Amino acid sequence: MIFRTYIPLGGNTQVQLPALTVTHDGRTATLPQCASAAPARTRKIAAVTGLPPVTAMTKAGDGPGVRPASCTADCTDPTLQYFSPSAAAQAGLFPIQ
Amino acid sequence: MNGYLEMNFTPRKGYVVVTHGRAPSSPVHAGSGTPGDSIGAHPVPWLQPKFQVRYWSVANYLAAKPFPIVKIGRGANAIFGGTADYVTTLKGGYYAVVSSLPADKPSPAALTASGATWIPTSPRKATAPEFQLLRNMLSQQSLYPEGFVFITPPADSSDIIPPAAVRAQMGAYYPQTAQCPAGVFEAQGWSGCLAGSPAAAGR
Repeated sequence: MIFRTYIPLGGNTQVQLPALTVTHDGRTATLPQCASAAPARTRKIAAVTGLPPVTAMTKAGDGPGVRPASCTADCTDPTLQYFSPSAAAQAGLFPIQ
Repeated sequence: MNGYLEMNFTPRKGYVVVTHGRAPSSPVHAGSGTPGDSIGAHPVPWLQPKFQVRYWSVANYLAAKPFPIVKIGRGANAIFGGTADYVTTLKGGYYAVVSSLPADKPSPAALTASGATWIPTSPRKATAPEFQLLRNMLSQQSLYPEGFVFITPPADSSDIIPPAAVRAQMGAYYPQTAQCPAGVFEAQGWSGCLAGSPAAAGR
């Protein structure tokens, strides 16, 4: 589950994450919030700017500029050229709708 | 559906990076209120043929985990290395985003002459590699196949689409980029910066 917020640049930066409670078969549990430093940092970045988080890259272990094994043509260094990064590296955290 | 394009670069002291391209139309004036505060708070009917995308932005990130967006200053004085559609200057339907260290920020006159928008690179890691993302929020293709398509998804989702293919598909919407001395932009604007780049010869 992804809780995503879009806030205009310069807008409210104090986004309060919701407390999520799951009820199943009569049992109820409140989920703990993520506490690690990196996700919190990227969450704040994304919330503050309304710009794309790049935690997907972190999770996938692929830094920008990492050439995928599947790149078989025109695989020159894309420095100062725009290219389309792997969709697979974005799966799960970048919104698809 | 979102589309992302990535451009890798390494900032240099005394230099700027120019990103110039045709801006897709988006509902930058939808809703009401003060820009930066309530735009987007009021939904607009979708799909609207006059809008190609729902939102777009250009932003700089440090190319090291956890890949934070460039930020200078703190609190209310913080400036982020990104610009969204509703705050980006357009000239003739084109944007010119200029990235540099704060010390190399072009003069207001030069920015105005180029119809350019300045965003910072990281002063704390002045020469560390960065990458720039162009983000387009698109309509959901399965529901709105008539919507605007920047890039046809690759057959294999693990594929990177190389620059030449992206350029061919996007046409004028493909951003032209170049790194040039700050003085070149100051004197000749974005076009002078692009014209003097090695990549210009291949265009």
